[in-house]
Amino acid sequence: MASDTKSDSSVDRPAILDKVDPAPWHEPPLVLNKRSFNWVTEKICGIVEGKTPTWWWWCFITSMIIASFTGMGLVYLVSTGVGVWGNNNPVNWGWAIVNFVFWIGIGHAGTLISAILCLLKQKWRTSINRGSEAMTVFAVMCAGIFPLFHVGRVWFAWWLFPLPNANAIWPQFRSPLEWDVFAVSTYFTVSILFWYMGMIPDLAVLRDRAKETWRKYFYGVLAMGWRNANNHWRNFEMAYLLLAGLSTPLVLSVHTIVSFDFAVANLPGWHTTIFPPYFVAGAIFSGFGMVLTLLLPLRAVFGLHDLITQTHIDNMCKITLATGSMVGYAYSMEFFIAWYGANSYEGFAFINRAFGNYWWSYWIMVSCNVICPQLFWFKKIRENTPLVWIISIFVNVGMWFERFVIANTTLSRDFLPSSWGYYSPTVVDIFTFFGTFGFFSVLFLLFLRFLPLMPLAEVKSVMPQANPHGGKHS
Amino acid sequence: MIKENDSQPLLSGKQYWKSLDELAETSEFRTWVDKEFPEGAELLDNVQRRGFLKTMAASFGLAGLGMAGCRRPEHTILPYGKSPEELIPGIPSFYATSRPSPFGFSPLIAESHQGRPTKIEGNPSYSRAGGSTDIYSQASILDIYDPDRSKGSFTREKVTQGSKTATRWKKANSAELLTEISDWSNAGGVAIISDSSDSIIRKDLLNQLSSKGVKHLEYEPIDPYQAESSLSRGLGESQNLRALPNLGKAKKVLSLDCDFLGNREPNSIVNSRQFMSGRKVLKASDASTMNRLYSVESDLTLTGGVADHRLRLSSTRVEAFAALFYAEILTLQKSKDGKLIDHLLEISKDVEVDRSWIAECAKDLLKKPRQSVVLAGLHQTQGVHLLSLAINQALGCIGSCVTYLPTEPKSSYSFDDLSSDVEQGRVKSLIILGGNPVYNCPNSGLVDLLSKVENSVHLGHNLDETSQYCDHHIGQSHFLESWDMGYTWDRSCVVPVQPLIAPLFDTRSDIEVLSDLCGSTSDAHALVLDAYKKLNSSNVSFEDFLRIGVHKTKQSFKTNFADINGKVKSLNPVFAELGSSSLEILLTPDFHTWDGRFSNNGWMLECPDPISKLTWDNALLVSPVFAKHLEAKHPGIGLLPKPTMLNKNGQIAPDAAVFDDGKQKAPVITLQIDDHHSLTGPVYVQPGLADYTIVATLGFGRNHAGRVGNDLGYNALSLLHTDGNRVITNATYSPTSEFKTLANVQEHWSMEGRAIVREANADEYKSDTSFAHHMGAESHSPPIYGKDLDKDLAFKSQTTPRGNSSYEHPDHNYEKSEEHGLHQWGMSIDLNQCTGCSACVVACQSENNIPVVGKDQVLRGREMHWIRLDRYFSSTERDGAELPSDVQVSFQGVACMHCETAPCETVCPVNATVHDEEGLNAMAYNRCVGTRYCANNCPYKVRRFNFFDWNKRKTDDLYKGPLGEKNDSISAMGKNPDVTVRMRGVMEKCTYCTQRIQESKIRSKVKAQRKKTLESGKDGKDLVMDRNELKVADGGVQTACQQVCPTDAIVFGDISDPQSEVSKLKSNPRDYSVLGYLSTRPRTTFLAKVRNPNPRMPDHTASPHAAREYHDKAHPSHHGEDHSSNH
Repeated sequence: MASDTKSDSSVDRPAILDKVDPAPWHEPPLVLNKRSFNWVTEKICGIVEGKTPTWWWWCFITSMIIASFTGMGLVYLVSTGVGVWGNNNPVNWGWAIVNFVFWIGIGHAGTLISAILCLLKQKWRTSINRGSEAMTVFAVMCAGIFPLFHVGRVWFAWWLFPLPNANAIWPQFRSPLEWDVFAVSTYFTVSILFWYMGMIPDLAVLRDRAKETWRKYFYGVLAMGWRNANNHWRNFEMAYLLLAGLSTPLVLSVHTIVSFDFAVANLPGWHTTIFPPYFVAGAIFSGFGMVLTLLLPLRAVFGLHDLITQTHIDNMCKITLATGSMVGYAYSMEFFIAWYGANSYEGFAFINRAFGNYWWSYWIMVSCNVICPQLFWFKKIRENTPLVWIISIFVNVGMWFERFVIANTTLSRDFLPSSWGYYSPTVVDIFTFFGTFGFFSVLFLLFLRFLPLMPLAEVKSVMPQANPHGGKHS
Repeated sequence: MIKENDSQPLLSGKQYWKSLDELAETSEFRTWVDKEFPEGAELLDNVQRRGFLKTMAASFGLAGLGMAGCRRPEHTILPYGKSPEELIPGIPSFYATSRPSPFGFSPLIAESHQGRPTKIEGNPSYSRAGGSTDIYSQASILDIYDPDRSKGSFTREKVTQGSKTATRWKKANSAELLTEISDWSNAGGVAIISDSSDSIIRKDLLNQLSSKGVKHLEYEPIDPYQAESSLSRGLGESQNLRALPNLGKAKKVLSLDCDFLGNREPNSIVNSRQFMSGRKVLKASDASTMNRLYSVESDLTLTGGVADHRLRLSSTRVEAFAALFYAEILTLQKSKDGKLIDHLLEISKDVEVDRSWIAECAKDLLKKPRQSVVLAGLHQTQGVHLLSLAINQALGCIGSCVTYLPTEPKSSYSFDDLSSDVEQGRVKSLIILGGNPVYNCPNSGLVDLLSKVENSVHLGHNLDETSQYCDHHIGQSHFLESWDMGYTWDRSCVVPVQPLIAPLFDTRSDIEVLSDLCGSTSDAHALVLDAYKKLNSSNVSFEDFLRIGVHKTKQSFKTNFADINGKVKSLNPVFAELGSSSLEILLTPDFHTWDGRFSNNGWMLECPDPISKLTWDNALLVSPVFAKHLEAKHPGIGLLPKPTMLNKNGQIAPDAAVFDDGKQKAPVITLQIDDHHSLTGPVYVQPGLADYTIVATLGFGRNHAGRVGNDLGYNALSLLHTDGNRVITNATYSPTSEFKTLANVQEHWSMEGRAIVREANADEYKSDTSFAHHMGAESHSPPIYGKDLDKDLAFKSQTTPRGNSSYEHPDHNYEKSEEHGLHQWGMSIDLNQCTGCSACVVACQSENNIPVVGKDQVLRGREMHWIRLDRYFSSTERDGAELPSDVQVSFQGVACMHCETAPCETVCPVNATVHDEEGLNAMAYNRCVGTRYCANNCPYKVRRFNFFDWNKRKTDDLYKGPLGEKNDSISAMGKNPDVTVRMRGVMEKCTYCTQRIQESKIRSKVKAQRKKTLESGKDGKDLVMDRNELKVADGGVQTACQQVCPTDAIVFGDISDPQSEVSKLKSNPRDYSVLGYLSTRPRTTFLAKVRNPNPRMPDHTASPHAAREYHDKAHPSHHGEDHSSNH
């Protein structure tokens, strides 16, 4: 029989193929309701050009007030000493580093969406990439506050930069904190470049539509003379591709290096090789959680349902589900290795995480990060936008607790039981952290008000009209 | 207001100051001040610094001249016109002196930097202490710089302002006040209440005064003469009999409630040194000659912590124990005095004691009776002292292991006598000379007497509780500001008290006051000189006496005791009932404040109690049994830990007490004693206590101690009566609903089966001297020494990195490399020698300018000690959440280990902590930005972070930041100028006293060069020195912790020199690294602990409890098996 078929095929198309009727692959439209190009332009530019909504003012003022908590907290901290925080001898890091890793983790989704998904030609990224990039930049700014101000003598923090000086003292290049300086500052620079460069054509649109003089100048300067010329576009696309290529390893490297802060140390519970992939997965997880948290309300407020469709939400939920499961796998693998490694200090560190003095934080982490996202297996839940939003909040909470668990349970009970201690934050810790949400919101609200929320050209390029074949292959 | 000065119309800054000085004198200014600041005007007469500054600042501002003050402050430096003898600026000078204490004078050497005393050490000429000191001598230097001490004399005056009257202290001139006091004396009717002292000068002066009819009452809350006087009364002797143990000769010691190694008993330094030297084991044969300690006690003391066998017994029951023990000795010695044995058994029949414990202990002591000794606690009954004397006589150890020194009894004049004298007008003036009797003896009726007498004056360190009831107060000079001379406790030496500095303030010493009373015109120095001349039969000049600091005296001991057994037969003790409703209270001097004299001493308050690890407070220590009773009766009191999910085999073990968010919440209870006294304090559950004994400490709860010591802890002194009895029975308790937070620096008492303090019994050690190498994670990885596996231990300990592998490893053998350091510093800590006395903690604090952070910050886990003493308990009863009653105690001093592959160094992003070529893990404070990553990554958690400006700001004002008040400048005077005072935001830690290393390197170099120049005749460029010639000789550098250690547990030196003491110790098989498996290669290593239990005792276990816990955890499959041999 086999030989028969073979001989047949050499002559003619296999007969079976004619009988096969492949199911039609419905590429879901990324912009619904057959909107026109003009509609997209009006919609997105309208957000910036319209009258400032009252809610925006309320949110802005509230955010400013909240942001001032960070300001006041930092002034108090710098003038008085790190002692105003709850840090102590076994737990020398406390909330500051937890918050740093938390914010930097959030900052991962933007670049992942704009770079990795770009390289992977995931067209659905277009509606959400600008917002997430903005989120990335602002989250990294929030993150940067903490490692900078957690040091005892902030006024000398510049010593972490490799500046030539009279004493010929260089930074310690073996220190993961030093690597952080490079990793985070590179990431921040590239993210800003990426974000800004992608915005240039849209800024030119805003400039061209501008009626007030200040707008003309404001957007004119920012648009850097964009004329929509073909060679502009050619250079733009090449640059975009290059930056995407450049940022892709950065997405992986930044959180890898942040995880080295822990993994390179010798403490049981920190000193594990699993940290880099586990941290990156966690970062993407928390980043997508935050994108959902931000975009779902925006979608409702600005009526962007045609641009941020159920397909987008579905995709983001699925990524959250996948990375959440990875994180859950890492949690269980840590326990396995601790047992398998037969090191009693290591074994204790993990038992202590789950059942020790910070057991509650461990179980908050597990329920939020491992159990919660499993709900995204169900289509019904993915389609219930309010529920998705609530779950995304849980993801954010869970990921903050993950960092808390890692940083604090290990430090509070390490090698010598004589030096075991307990850490609790002070009001200053809490307010300083709370204030960064205000700081983030202030920046994000300004972004909404003055910059295009979505890349017009890119969104248009994935619309059905953009395809000369009308979306059908023939 | 400013007069124009024609010659200089323009006021420049300099003249401005001058003009204002003049201005203050003008009558216009005076009138203006009187008008503007009526309450400030008087300050101009009696200028006080703060008041003066305030007034001047205000007047500057109002005069519109404030801005002119904006310039650098000018200091006037006056060079010495004639340089004082032997003074080289920057080089400290050392003077022999001594510290008077109730337990005799402690010979000291004090370090002085340009006249400022900065550090105290023991005087090595007093060979019994070998240059070591106790913790109190170390801390006493802080008192001279106490901002709250009296800065002169004061007189109480009544101030009437409108309808209100108030009394306040008015500054007085000490000399005038003393003249006034002399007038009282001349008028007659004077009584002196003093603390006790072994001063020869004071005794002479008091004798002179008593011949003039002055009454003298001597009082101490912790009566140092209690034991000797009760023994002499028991024997019917006229002289006191002071038992002086000579523990260097003792091989078996039985302590009857006697904390001879701790703070409760006199001479603890000499005792520790002598006793612990008998526990040095460096080779297998030493294990056979090691001494053995049996301890019977109600409280868990340092002595009990060292003990090989410890019997928990209420203090009131110790007399019964002693009787039974004596009976057992007599029986074993086949004594014919059957009546005596019967009597002993009769009087102790109602008391339950483990008879087999007594029998085996007695047998053991009788193996070598002349090398066995029984010691009785100071607070114990006459019966116990008589019985211990009888037992010692039966053993035949009197003269060898213990001697009895006759001493003159103290004056019999009592508070009752004083009271009747005052009532009958025979005493009109009271002079209180030192001490604080109003606080220390509330039951003496002294307050009442003070209100009745016409005149009263108190010589004291500060305006304390006693001063509050006196008319006048004279500030007392610190001993580093005064002259005196007295005996050491053992009366083997006379030692001088020599001032290092003229009194900082207008203060007087006790002998100055007395000599004024005597009408003597000679000053204190002359008195000491005279007394020395009278005393001295040899031809050592007074100057040499001051240089050496010790003058040996002849002692004659009593060796014959007639008919002790007759006295024993007349003993008929009554044993009060013991139970949860009739508790026994033991009053002990507090570790921190002793009897309250160190109440305002931040170093002492912050130094953790070695056993309870509490700081800044005292607590009512209760036994786990009583705690269980309390918990059952009063649920919610929260005394005992809740069972955790995992408690088998030392996993997540319960804590010694309930720590709520790292803070210990202690329930407060009230104790009532039948004579209407009561005591309210927080409860702390202390393993090792007798079931129904509550230990209360004296010396807390003061309200006029000063800013540091006010209102801390509870005051237990109301329980102390004038008879000095410190064991109280028939106490009942009632809980209050209150809780108090206690600042405990160690939350967790268990070692969790980790091989941190490695221990073995002497028998195990004999069969396997390297037992420590078979413990810990590193012992489980066979190629731990890599290619050096077969090399001898000395080689491995000095050169082979732990965790060596066949891969290339960084070379740390600097000593082989010419371009590296001359020395390689290392330290060895012998865990078998450490008693936990904690003197190293305060010595380090004093040497290295370590700040005091206060209770609030200790509660937040921010204590700054560079060396800490970890205290672990281990027990056989390790089941579930139960707190053990019988525990073994293990101490471990932990400071920076100076790891060769230091985990802290690689993580510091700014290179602030780096290795130097001599193996020190150096800390560059200037470079530190304070990321605290190093502290996180330190496995030993020895790094300390300056969370606040501890040195700059007042402790109460830390949270006020720049708005907070600055510390008194006087405290800066006591700082060691060789050590940087750290600012906030930087990390600090032990440096192996790098300043001492540098100092001795310089000294050695200068000496070597001088010698070589003399030998070779070459100098300058021509002089070529060999590297080895520049080396510091072994023992040439002593770290502060090493120097103070009475038992020489800490040895520091050059490990690249195989002949150095530290190298030899490091090649001892007992040597191990804590957490060696991390391959940090610490330069500080430990010598494992060896206990010496008697295998025949009922409480004997084949391995120490800590070792068993480790083996159970490391080899769970062998659980329950015997691990006496090496596995």
